[in-house]
This record gives sequence, structure tokens and C-alpha cells, in this order.
Amino acid sequence: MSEIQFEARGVRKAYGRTEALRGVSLTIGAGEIVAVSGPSGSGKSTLMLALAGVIRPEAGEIVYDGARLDDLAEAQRTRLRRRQFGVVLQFGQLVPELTAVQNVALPLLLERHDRAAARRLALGQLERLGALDLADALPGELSGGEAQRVAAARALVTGPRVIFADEPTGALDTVGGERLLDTLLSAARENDATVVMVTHDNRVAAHADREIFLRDGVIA
Amino acid sequence: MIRLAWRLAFAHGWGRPALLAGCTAIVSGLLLVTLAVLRLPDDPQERLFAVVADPGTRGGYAFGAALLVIPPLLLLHQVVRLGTAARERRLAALRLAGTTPAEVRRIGAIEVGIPVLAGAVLGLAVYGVLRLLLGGTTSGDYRSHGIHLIPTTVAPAWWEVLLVIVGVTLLGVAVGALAGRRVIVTPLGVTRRAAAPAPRPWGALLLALAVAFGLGAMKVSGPQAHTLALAGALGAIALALVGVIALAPWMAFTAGRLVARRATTGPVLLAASRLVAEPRPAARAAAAVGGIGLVAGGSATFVVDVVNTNSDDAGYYLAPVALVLVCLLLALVAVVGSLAVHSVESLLDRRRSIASLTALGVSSDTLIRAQRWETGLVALPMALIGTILGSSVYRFGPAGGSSILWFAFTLLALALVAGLCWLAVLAAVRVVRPWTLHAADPANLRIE
Repeated sequence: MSEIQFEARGVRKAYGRTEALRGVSLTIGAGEIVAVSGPSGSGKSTLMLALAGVIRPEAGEIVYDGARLDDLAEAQRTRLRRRQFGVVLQFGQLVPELTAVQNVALPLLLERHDRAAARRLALGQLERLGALDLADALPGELSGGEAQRVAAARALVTGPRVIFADEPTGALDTVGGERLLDTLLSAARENDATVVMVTHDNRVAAHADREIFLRDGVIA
Repeated sequence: MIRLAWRLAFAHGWGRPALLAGCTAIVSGLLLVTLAVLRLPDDPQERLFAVVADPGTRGGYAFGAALLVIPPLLLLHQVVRLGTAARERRLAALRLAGTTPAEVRRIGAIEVGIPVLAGAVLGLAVYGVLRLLLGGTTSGDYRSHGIHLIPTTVAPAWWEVLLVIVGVTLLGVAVGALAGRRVIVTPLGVTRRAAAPAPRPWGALLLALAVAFGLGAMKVSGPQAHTLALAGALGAIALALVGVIALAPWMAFTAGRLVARRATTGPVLLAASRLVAEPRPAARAAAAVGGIGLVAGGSATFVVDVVNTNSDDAGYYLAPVALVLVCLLLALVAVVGSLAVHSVESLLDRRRSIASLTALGVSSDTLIRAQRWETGLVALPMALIGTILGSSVYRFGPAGGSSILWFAFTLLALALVAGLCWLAVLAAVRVVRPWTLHAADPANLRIE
């Protein structure tokens, strides 16, 4: 396996009295494409969010590129996410008030890119995902699949080292899902980016180099 | 049904009912003060602030006290919308359980009506406290200290008190119904009627009407000239205030659109786009700022007018200006409340979307900066335009004298109002900071 990029050791996370993760340990290599699968409520999304530094585990450690990710302050984790990670959530989760191109350009503007350059890069990314004609549409005017393509463009626009995707094809039909996955994974391979995708769909998991199966908060 | 509405009103704690009652208590308290002032005889048998005691200026004072109800009413409109999402889910569940649309509307009205009625009755206590603190004195000791703004030898009649309580309660219920007029509750959830079109500058018509009224008031002659001129001037002020408030959504939308086109940073783009998408709620929260600017601008020109006339009794005319400034500061406190309540409601409504921004790497600092921009983009233009209007209308109407002095005072008023308005924005954003951080919590990614 390539150089270890992520290492989780005994990660635990609970929501109230429900334990979502009960001591998960794993490693993910740089450039690896990993599918996290399992039934509903098995802790897939929680594991992805913990690896992405979105949530902090209550116990255990998460190491990214040799440094403790869970030890970083909220602001440091946020900056890391903005600069090195791309996140695609279920149903896109675009900012409803921004047009598609503005949504895609947002991470660049937050990194103080020039407005015109940010727009150019965003349009380029939308074109790559076959969504250029949607550039000026608001999220409310997009179908589930279109919104998901825009969300994928937003995740890819900064050229991230790691792409996290939570059920990226959940809102799509089979053909649309395949197309989106192909684009996402080919973009990742071009950039040697690692991909961690959560799915309960075996066909999606089949695209991965490795599958991690969770059940009741532990790796089965 | 009343019992059910009562349970629903307090289902999510006492916060919303207490705020509703608080707003209406202030409104009915101020109206009772106004009525008490209007009951004073020409020669009051108590020591009162000159503007209250003088029958010539008393009408204007009572009018000003009545206008002070506008900020708490705007705040009430915001508070009514607190917890909308949870309430709509409850009402949908009631529909599913067999409640008819009319019954749902009735439950909604009672839910708002109970705290509003309590507040209207509590207004009597507000009036009592104000009377205790600011009441006139009959001790005969003319060296006694304190500001005597409220008559103590007269009080509103019982039927006037009843009228205020019933009127304020109905007003509160009407405000509640207005807030929910775009919502249709079905057993499967809540749908909204077609989105409102982009706001139009209809408020400008009211402002034009206010100018016409004011100019007309200056030109009346005959035996009733003084009364007609006073009525015309007061009508013009009321129209101008309503005009500025009605102009707020259009101004919020226009400011948002102009800034969104040129936004070069994330927080500015987020703030401006929100205003374009939903200009009305933010505008309602900041609308009173326009009225504050209008009165502040008018007061600045009034001061110039008094200084220009160089009269011996300048002090008599300038003292009420200090009172006006205090009232404006109190109105600004209500604006801070309005802005804060609006922000909290907006944050609760959008917490999943905000949490997803956090997941993308948007820091809570960026979210707070966006909030500051959004609030400032609505409030500051309103404050500046209100001040310029107030100052100009008075200057080119009844006031005369040095233009340089007028210009200097207008600039001073602009700086003062803009500064205070910005402080109000900062205070409102600071107050809602815990809610902002809560909305950014990734746990919100799991909510429906």
C-alpha cells in the first residue's frame, strides 16, 4: 500500500445515548479510493465526518499526514478542510441563495482568490462535470442530479488532496450516478487525490480500491 | 381548543411568549402615556416638562410618544416568527390528526393572542412604572429634580384603558396572522404560496405624499390655520416614517443586488446573496433604523434653525431635542432586539445549510462576518437615507438660515446615526453569536 495518509485508532463517537462509532481503527493510503459501506445507522457518515475533521471524536485518535487531526483547534481543522479536502454531502447541500457558479467559486473566494479568476475556475469545473449550462441557476431550480454535479464541482475546484463524498449518487438515477462517479474518480486520479466515499450501494462500492464495511459502529 | 393553543404556546419554553408579552406591554404602556397627556387641561396643576405642560407643543409630544410604539411593533413582528419551523411541523401534525384549516388558523391566533393579551394588560404596569419614574410633581417645590414627562393628576379613562388592551391584542393577533399569510398547512407538511415578487419602491410614493402634506401645511391660511398646519405637519411626519419603513425591503434588495455583483470575498457574497433571496425579513428587522435617521436628521436641522433665529428662549426649544435623542437611543435598543431576533430565526431555519458550509471549510468567523455584512447592508443605507431625508425635508421646508451650518449639522447627524447604527449591528451580531456557533455545529447535518 502507498504511504499512509489517514490513521484512525479506537475512534468513538456518540449522539446522546446512541453510539455511532464504537472504537473504529483503520488506515487509508494516499491516493487510495475507499468505500465505506454498511446498513443505515451503522456510523458510515459519522466516520467520514470524523476523518474529514468536521466532528471531533470523543475518544481515540485520527492522524492525517503524520499529525493528530483531532487535536487541532476548530479553526485549524476548518482551514485544513478548506485547503486540502473537498466534501460532497448527500443531496448536495448547496447554499440556496447563491447561483451554481457562485457556489463553486465560494471556496476560492474564501481563500481570497481574485473574483474573476475564481469565476473562471468555477466555470471550468462546471464544464468538466457537464454542468456549464447550469452556471447561473439557483439550487432551487436544479434537479437532485444537477445539484449533486454542482456540489461535486465545488468539492473539486480547489484541487483537494482528499475528497470525501457522502452518498454522492444517492439522489441520482443509475446512469446519472455512474457518470458523476466516473467524473469524480477520474478527477481524483488525475490529482492523485485520496477518496473516501460513503455508500450503501454495492455498485458504487465496486469502483473503490477497497471497501470498509461498518455494522453497529464497528468495522465488520 | 384554547387549552390546546395554550399548551402549544408554551411548548418550547417561555422565551417566545415572554418576548411577545414584553413587546405588547411596551406598546400599550406608551399608548396609555399618550392618552394621559391628551387628557391634561390647558393649565395643568402639576409641574411637568415644558413641552408637556405647554398646550401648544403638547400635541406634538403626544404624537411622538405614540410613534415610539413603531420599534416594539416591528420587534413583535419578528418575535411572532420565532420557532416557525417547529410550529409549522406541529400544525401539520394537527392537520394530519383531523384539524380543519380554519381550526389551525384559530389555534395559531389563540397561540399568539394569549401572550399578547397578557402583555397588553401588563402595559398598565409599564404605564404605572413610567408614571412613578417620570411623573409630574405637585409638591410645589420647583427645585425638585427629575424629568417630569408623564401627568400624574390625570389618567386615561377606564374605557380608554379597555380600548388600548383590546386594540393592542387585536393588533398583535393581526401581526401574527400577517406573518403566516404565505403559509398553507397541509397534513403532509407546510407549503408556501408562490414566492413574493422582488420588492418595489412603493414607500417612495408615501414619502412624496409626506412632502406634499408638509408643503400644504405650510401654505394654509384662515382662522384654523394653526390647527391645520399642525395636523398637516404631524401627518407628513407619520407618512414619512411609514414611507421609510415601507421602502426598507426594496432598499435591502437593491443593496444586496449591487453588492452581490461586486462581491470579492466569501462573507460579502454570502451576505449580499441572502439579501437578494430574502430581502423582506431582514428589512423588517432594520426598518426602524430609517425612522430613527429621519427623526435624527430632522432634529439636526431643527437645532440649526433654533441657532439661526438666535432667540432668547433657545434653551426652551433645544431641551426637547435632548429628549428626542434619548427616545432615539431607546428605539435603537428595540432595533438591536429586532435584528437579533431576525438573525436567530434565520439561523435556526438554515442550520443544516450552515452546518454544510462548516463541513466545506467555512469557519465560524467567516459566518459571523457574513452576518455582520448582511445586517449592516440593510441597516446602514436605511439610516443614512433616513437622516438625509429628515434633514433635507425640514431644511427645504420650514427652516431657513445658513446652509453651511445646516450642511455641517447634517454631516454630524449622519456620522452619529451611522456610528450608532453600526454599534447596533455589532451588538445584535454579538448577541446571536451562541446561535451562530450552534448553527455551525456539524450535528445539524443530521437534522431533517
